[in-house]
Amino acid sequence: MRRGALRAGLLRFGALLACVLAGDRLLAAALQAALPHSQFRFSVAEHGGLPPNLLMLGNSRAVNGLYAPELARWSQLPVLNLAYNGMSTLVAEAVLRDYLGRNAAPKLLVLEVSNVQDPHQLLDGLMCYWSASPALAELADVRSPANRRAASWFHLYAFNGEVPLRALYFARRSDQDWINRYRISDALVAEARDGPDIELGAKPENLEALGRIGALARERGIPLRLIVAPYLPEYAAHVRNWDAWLERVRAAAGSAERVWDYSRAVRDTAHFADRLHLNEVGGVPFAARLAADGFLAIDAPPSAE
Amino acid sequence: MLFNSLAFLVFFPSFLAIYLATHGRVRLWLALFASYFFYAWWNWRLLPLLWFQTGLDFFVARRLYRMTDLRARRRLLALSLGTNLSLLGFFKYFHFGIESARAALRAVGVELPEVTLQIVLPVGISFYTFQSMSYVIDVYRGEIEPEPSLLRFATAVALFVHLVAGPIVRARHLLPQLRSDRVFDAEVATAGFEQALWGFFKKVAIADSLAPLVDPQFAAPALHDGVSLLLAVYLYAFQIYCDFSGYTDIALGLAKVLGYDLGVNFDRPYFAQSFSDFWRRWHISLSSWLRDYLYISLGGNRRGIPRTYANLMLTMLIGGLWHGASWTFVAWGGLHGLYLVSERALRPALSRGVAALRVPRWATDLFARLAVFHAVCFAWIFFRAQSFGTAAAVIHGIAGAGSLSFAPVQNKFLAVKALALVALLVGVEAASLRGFAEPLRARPGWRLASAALVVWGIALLGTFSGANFIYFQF
Repeated sequence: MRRGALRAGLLRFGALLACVLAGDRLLAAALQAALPHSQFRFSVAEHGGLPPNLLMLGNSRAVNGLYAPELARWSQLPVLNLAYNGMSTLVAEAVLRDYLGRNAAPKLLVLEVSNVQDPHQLLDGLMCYWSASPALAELADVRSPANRRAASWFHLYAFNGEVPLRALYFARRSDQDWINRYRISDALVAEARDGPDIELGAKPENLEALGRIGALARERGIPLRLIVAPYLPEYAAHVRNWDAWLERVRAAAGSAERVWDYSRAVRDTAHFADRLHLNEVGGVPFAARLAADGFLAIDAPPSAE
Repeated sequence: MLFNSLAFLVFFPSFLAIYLATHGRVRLWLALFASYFFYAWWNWRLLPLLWFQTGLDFFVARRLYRMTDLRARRRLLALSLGTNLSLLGFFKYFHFGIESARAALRAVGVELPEVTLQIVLPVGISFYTFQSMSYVIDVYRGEIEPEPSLLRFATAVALFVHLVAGPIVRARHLLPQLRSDRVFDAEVATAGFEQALWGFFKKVAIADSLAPLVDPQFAAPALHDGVSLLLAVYLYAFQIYCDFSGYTDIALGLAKVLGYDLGVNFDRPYFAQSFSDFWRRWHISLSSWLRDYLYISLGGNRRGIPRTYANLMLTMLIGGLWHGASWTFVAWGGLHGLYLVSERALRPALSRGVAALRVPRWATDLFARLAVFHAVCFAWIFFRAQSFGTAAAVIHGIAGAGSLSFAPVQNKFLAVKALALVALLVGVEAASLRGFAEPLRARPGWRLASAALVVWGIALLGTFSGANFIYFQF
């Protein structure tokens, strides 16, 4: 009787396991097939075949600071803002390498360099793109072996997180107009004003990646612009090492690349969503300013300062 | 060891395989050893405390049973309760007591030096202490006979499925189940496995997904807009529910796989139509413990209306304090006490009013549910806030919301995901409340598919950061 019950239990468990695994493979394969057809930024890049364009990389400060629709208007180029929340320079390098493997080299590559400070969590966030992105997969082998194994055993796990949901949400419409549309509260401005002094840092592996991005751009003949997008002035006033930090970043990029420093260029707090990010109100005029400053010029790139 | 950890994923199947292969005392020894191992994985240094309380209550109960002198019995009971509560008080409330005393004396101009003592709060102490105390009280009251086997009693106290965060299983409920080998029943084990899976889903997919929309808001409410704060309060109600009931479902489900029935600890509490109904559905093992051993001991409702109200208030205040060493927990308990007292006082008038107005039943039910839910949410503000200042800032922020626009809410994507998960939970619970799920559960194919769906949901929506269960701190 007890053996019979045990056998029945094991059979049920086995049936569930088989059902779970079969569904896992099927569902994951369907999602994997659908992923490149989404209009989400990473899916567009994975789908491939993009023409020479204006390509942007960086963290959330680039997502909000480099407002794609306005930059497209001013540059008269197709634009792809491939920046994403928490994208470190190391991850940006892998994303760029995979991008170049499938698409035409951009006419202009823009990198918002405050991401040299960022950790690399976005690497796990991009799990669903690993299987079709050799550079990301290679980085994951080194930086996230546990998740790499988990995603290989259980395929649906690769679709865990915010990025696949966004890809689903943006299945039929572009996410390039994604920008913060709210204004920083007075309390947050006050907090930034009364906050402690700040030393900007940089992760060594990000600085090394920045150097490799610079070398790759030169090797492929891609004009590269390094930029620091605006910070809330009340916050920026507390940064004690601007010049040293910028010099560190510039030196890491190599070949005397200029860093376009707009960190303190926007004074109006109404242009910010929080201390780190512009909002739509700020993003639109900032794009115009970049155009006016020649930041978007391709034929005659401004000389290094 | 956390239920949602890789270590447990190895521990439980290994334990189960050996457990099913053993019988009698060997099986009990295995369960006991595994339970102590489970506890020691977190901090082995606190095992002796568990052993001491187990041993004390085992021997006190045996002696109580043999004694006939009432005063001596009372003294012995007081010794057991006093020791248990002193240990609980020392480990959990020492700093709270000292700081409260310092603050009170400071108010009258007496400054006491600061006391710094590093005390580690033993995980689960509130749960196993209450469990062990209820056993001694039951023996004292003559409701059960003392357990002759220390091995069996120790296993009942320490069984890993309920040890660190409940449910608070009464000895009279669990001990009889330990007296014979539990026979493996495929149907019960399957139901238990399904319940544990659903518990995992509630914990890692729902509760942990809501945390990023709650924690920052309660950490610095002044920096968030009113709508975000309001959303945080609502989401916290579901976060704590899914976290704790998720843990409980895992515990009860795994216990069923082992062949034990530990009862029910949550019964769709946010569908409650009154505050007393809420407490019949929320953390049932604690609320029934407080009712049986505190409220009734205080006289319950047998000594007139004012005393009933006082007993209710005192029970809820102590219930609040049980959750943690902070006045905000006491305030939370106090609010629930006020709710219960108000309900008792106003119910007859409300019933008459509803009858006179001929309000349809469905409308009164819906209104009652919404009213109870919102009052419970209001009380959660004090439960979640680190201080009264934080709670006041949250309330002030919500009250000052200019509009109910979703626009200022940061990370709307996470918010939409969170709301979708809450809607899923409410939908599932509403379906089960209406009995829609029962016919489907009779179909093996449906059960298989729904279990697979839950696993896929965990893989797709789970947060695997190893986040602790909220109730571990209690």
